[in-house]
This record gives sequence, structure tokens and C-alpha cells, in this order.
Amino acid sequence: MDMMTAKTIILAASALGAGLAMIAGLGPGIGEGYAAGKAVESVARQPEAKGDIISTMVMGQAISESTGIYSLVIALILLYANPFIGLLG
Amino acid sequence: MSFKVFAGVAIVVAVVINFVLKVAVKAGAVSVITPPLVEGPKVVFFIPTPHNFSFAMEMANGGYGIPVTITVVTTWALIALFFLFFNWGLKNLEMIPGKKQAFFETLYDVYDSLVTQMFGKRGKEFVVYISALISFIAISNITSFFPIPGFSTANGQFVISPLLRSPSADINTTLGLALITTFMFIYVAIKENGIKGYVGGLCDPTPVMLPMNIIGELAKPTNISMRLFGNAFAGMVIMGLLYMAAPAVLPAPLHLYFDLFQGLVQSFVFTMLTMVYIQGSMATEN
Repeated sequence: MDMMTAKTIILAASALGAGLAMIAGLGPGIGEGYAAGKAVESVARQPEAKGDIISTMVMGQAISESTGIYSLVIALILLYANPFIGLLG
Repeated sequence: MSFKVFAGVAIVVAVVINFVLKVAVKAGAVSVITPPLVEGPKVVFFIPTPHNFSFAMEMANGGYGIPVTITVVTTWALIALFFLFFNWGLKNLEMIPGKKQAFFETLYDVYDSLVTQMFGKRGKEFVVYISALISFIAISNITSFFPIPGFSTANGQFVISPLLRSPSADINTTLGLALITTFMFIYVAIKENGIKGYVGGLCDPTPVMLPMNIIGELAKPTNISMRLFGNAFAGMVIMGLLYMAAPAVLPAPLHLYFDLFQGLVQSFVFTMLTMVYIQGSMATEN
């Protein structure tokens, strides 16, 4: 197989991989929405604790966002700093 | 009042520049290009060094030098901005605060309440680091919300691009900040418990768990640096793609979300996580 074909295959697979990696965005989206819904419920029940609830919610959402961010980083690496092209030599 | 005047002048200047450029392009005098917004940090200039110096890169003219990227230049600009802003704000302090002093006291109150609700009485030890961290990240995230137009010429074409680039959209900045945080919480842990206590905390339930705990410790800086970088860079990428798809009107409100809101939330999150990590290393004392 010549170099050109190999490069094409790698580029196409990387683009597909970047797209597939972003499927991980589903999880944090659902989870953070659930957390926000619960926060709305507790603010409705106890409006005076709004500040505490919001900061705790943002905190928890930030931590549960990690998986989404990791997949984003993988997608960005595949798109902008592809390590597999270098392996062709 | 003066702010309204400033905003009005800025809008008029932008409209005039736009009009002049449009007329010039129509007449065929110049051709204007705007480079794509999605790109890595460019090297602005080199500091010349002998060629066996570490980190040295080959320059265009064959010499060797340390590359200085746009990220570093922007960081310098932000440092200068901070210096001037706080020097101006903290001059002539009075017992009965005026408008300016009241603003700065409110700012301090925000930082102070942030650390006090996390650390309690010990907040005073960390207020300097935490306030510097949150203000630097917030300012660097919203750099692209206030773009300064830069003009240059390349190959006979007139190039308009933002002069500064958000430093947090570069992995080097965020990783550097995360490493400062890492140093901070390991330092606190060793200061509280001694080196023996810290290593003992690493093999907490049984020594078998040592590798897992080390990985857990390494995950903290990775986590916060990647989160900040990912958010800032993804915002930049999405805005760049949007400018290709819809050059007018539509991107303007989205700048509010991706630059202003996202930037402020992420600076808050980075700072909160830093405080949680520091508090976690303090809590192992009993």
C-alpha cells in the first residue's frame, strides 16, 4: 500500500474517531441536567438556601463534566495534533 | 456617563473603519482577509540565544532563539493591565469610601467570603493565591470578548485579526496554573502532616493502594488543566466555525455565552476545585 493511501485511511479514521469520541457528551449532558433539575426542586422548597445550592450544584456539575472534557480533549488531539500521522514515518 | 461616551465613540470608530474598508475593497484598492480564528498560538518573536541553549528553536534567518508565543505576550498585557488597574484603584484610600473605593472593597469582600466559607478562619492564608487565580483566569477567559483589532499586511493583502489570543486556550497556561495548585496542596499537606504523614496518607488503607493513590493525585492537575483548556479552546473552535457559517449577527449573542458566561463559570470552577483540593490535603490531619 502506498503512502498516500495509508495517510488517507488514517485521516479518515481520525475524523471518525473524533466524531465518535464526542458521543461521550451524552453522559454529562444528562447528568448535569438531572443535577440542575434537583437544584431547582430544592430552591423551590427552600428559597433562602439559594446561594449554597447553586454553588454546590456548579461544583458537582463541574466534576461530573470531567468525562465529557476528556472526550473533547481526545477529539481535539485527533483533529489538531494527530499522533498517528507521525507513526507512518 | 463616561462609559456611555466611550462605548459610543468605540461603536462610531468601528462603523467608520468598516465603511472605509468596504469602500476600499469595492474600489479594488486593497483586498482584505481575515484569517481563520481556529489556530494554535503563533510565535510572535524570538529571544536570540546561543544554539546549544535548551528550548532554543531555529529562527527564520538561521540563528537560534527562544520562541515567545502570542499566549505569553497576552499574559504580559494582562499583567500590565492588572498592575495599572489595581494601582489606580488602591491609590488615596480613605476612611469614607468613594465610588471607586467601594467597588474595590466589594471585590475584596467577594474574594474574602469565597475563601472564608471554604477554609473558615484559615482563609487569610490563601486569599492572596485564590484571588489572584480567579481574577487572572476570569480576565484571560474574557480576553476574546473584548477583541483589539490588529492590522498587518501579508503578500500585499490587508489582514485584520484579533491582536490578543486568550491565554487559557493554550494548554501551557492551564497546565502551569494547575501545577501551581498542585504545588500548593502538596505543600499544605506536607506542612500539616510532615513528609511521613503525607506518604502515609498515600498508602492510606493498605500499602497496596499506593499506585492508585498516586494516580489519583496525578489526576487532579490533569483534570483541572484539561477542563479549563477544553472549555476555552472548544469555545474558540465553535465560534470560529460559526464565523465561517454565518459571518454576521448570529455570532454576537453567542459570544455572550461562550466567552463571558462560560469564562466566568470556568474561572469559578477552577478556583473552587483548587480550594477543594487544598482543603482535602488539610483534612487528613486527624
